[in-house]
Amino acid sequence: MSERQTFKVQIENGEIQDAQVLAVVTIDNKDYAIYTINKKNGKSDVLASCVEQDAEGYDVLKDIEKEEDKYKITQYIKGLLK
Amino acid sequence: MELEEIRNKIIDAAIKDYNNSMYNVLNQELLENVLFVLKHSKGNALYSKEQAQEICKEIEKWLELREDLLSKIRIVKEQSETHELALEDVKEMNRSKNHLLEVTSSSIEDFYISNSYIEEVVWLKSQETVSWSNIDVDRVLNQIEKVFFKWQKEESHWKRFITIVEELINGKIRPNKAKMQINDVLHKYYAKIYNEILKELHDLLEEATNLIKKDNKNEFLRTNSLIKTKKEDLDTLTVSIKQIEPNFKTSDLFKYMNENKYIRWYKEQQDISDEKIIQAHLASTKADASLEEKIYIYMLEKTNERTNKVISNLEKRTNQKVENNREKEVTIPTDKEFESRCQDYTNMLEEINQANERLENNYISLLSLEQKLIEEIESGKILDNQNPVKSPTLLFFDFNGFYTDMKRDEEKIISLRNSMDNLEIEMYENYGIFPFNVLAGIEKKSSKGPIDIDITLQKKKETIEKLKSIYDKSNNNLEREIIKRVIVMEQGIMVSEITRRQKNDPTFDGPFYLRKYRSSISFEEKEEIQTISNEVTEQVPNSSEVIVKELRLNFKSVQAVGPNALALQDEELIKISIAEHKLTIAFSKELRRKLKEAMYQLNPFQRQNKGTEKITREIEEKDNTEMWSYDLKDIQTDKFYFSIILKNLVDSKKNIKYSLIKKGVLSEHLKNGEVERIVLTR
Repeated sequence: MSERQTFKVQIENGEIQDAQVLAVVTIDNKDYAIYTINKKNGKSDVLASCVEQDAEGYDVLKDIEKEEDKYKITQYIKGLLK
Repeated sequence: MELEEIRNKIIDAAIKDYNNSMYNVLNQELLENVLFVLKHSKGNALYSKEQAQEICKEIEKWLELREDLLSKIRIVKEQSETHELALEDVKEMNRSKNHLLEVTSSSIEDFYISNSYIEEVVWLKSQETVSWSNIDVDRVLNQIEKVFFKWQKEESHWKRFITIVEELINGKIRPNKAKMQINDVLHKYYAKIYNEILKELHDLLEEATNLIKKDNKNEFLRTNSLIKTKKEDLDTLTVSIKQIEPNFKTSDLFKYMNENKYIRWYKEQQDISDEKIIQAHLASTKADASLEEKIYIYMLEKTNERTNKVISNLEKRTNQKVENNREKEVTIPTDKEFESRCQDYTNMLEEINQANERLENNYISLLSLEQKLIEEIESGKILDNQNPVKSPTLLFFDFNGFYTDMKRDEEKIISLRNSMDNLEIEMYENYGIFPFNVLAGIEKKSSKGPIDIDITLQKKKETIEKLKSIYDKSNNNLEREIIKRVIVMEQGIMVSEITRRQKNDPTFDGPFYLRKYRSSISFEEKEEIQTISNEVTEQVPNSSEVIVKELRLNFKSVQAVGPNALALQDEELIKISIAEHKLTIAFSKELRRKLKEAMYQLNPFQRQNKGTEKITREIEEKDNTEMWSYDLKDIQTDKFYFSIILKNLVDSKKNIKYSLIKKGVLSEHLKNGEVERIVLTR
């Protein structure tokens, strides 16, 4: 398996952690980054953000505001598990 | 040249320039020739009729792919010219190219006749005791490719060649005569090639001589390089002929080229090489210098003379202009103006050189960009965000480690499924849950007759409640997920069992039990459990009206893993409708693109029995949707399977799972062409 891309994520308590990209998927013409943050207990949290481009063309990962979008991504991941 | 090398050249050439003649020849002549061979080979020792048909199919597929690729190349070419090279297009083209390579290798490598084959066939047949079936076709077929590819542009020779083969196979001519005729064709062919190369050589040497006279170093070097290539071509051709005919002499070909001005010229000129021409100009240079060195020295020596000549010409022209200006009473240019013009001239030359260099660099950049794009496509999208993500959305908390690798870690997913299987067994042993098929089996084998539905369903309901209790108390996500799925499955089994009972026993009150047990469903999958079958069966049939206006297929059963896994998350991707005896399946183009991208094939109909009945379809495109229509009148039987299958066309290395979206039975009572009822079951 190839090495996964990592980037920084600021979690709720302000701490900055490394996240590993699982996949960048397109759902209903929107790009979402799905990534994980490893935890000390040997498990991981799976998170997602909406991928958008800033004025200079760089990717910006933004919060997923709509609950239905979150549901779609969750379903997508479940689909992979079945 | 190896076959692989030829093939790569063809593909590369096609991508760089879709008008490339070699590629077009491959389509028009090569495939025509192949089809010609196949057409005439049916029923003989080369291939069986079935094999020939298979080959034809492969070739047709290849042709289709080629057309597809050509159109893509055309688009990409246009886009690249306007600097709008789309990532998707490059990706699609790359994939098509790879697929084309695969198909090409499977269709071409296996099926062609070679000169060696003919030699072998002639020899074997000359023994008279050998039957066609004893000929090792596969072995000799592999020998043909080199000859075949050389012959593809020689239609007349090729057809003559084929005719001889056909006559030989059909016993119209004797083997020895066939051999003589084939040799004759071969020699004519070689003579033609020799002649072409000699003509080119002749023209190039004349051009080279002129260029030397004109002191054009760069053009001369280019021409000289071509001359060397042509000479190598001659040598290569001679070597390849000698491989087939060890006693071959070049002079053997001359009889085919009598009265040919190029061969006469070649004979006269063969001792006059370009080097000697140069040497004539370079009598004073050192004897051991290389050709390029000699040219360079020659050019240096000529520099002063040429400079003087250029200046002289410029002066002449300037003087002429001065005269003209005098006549026209226009201001005479000063010395400074003259120098300025010379400088402009020099600057322009410099600019041209720089532009050339930029052009070359841009071309290299374009190639590397394309390579980069392809690499990016192959490795998945790379995020280039610069700042930390501040508001991530949490989807799953405390996932087990293997969930994080879900996309590729197939073994873990299989392990999860095994865990579910084990849990099912545990549930069966501890709580008495019967999978549906087990239940039916017990009933069938039991001497007590049908199992009491009330007791069975009551027991199932209790079991589900117990499972729900475990589910609510459990803190383990994996366990919860498994239990939830078992509950869903059990609820589905209950519904299926009720449906089955209702079908077998008209007195059984199915709707009552459905209402009774549906109330026990409380998970979000409630609608999913009800399935299409419930929605459809509950509708009241009406013999003269359309029963089902629209069905939406549920894609949740798609199972695809691996780097190219097909992600279907939109339930509206496929719509099925029945109206006016027409069954219409509408695919969004997005789905078609995804299917193509994932190299899946869509087979909407699968006959229950392999009859001869032909179900035709009409394809129509509208509003970004592709619609396939089937006339139900064409379907004579009252039952056929309706299925949409994603068939894996990728080899096992790609790690893509075969997936079945939905398989059901369309049970039709087609009376006088009218649709009465449709039942879709899972």
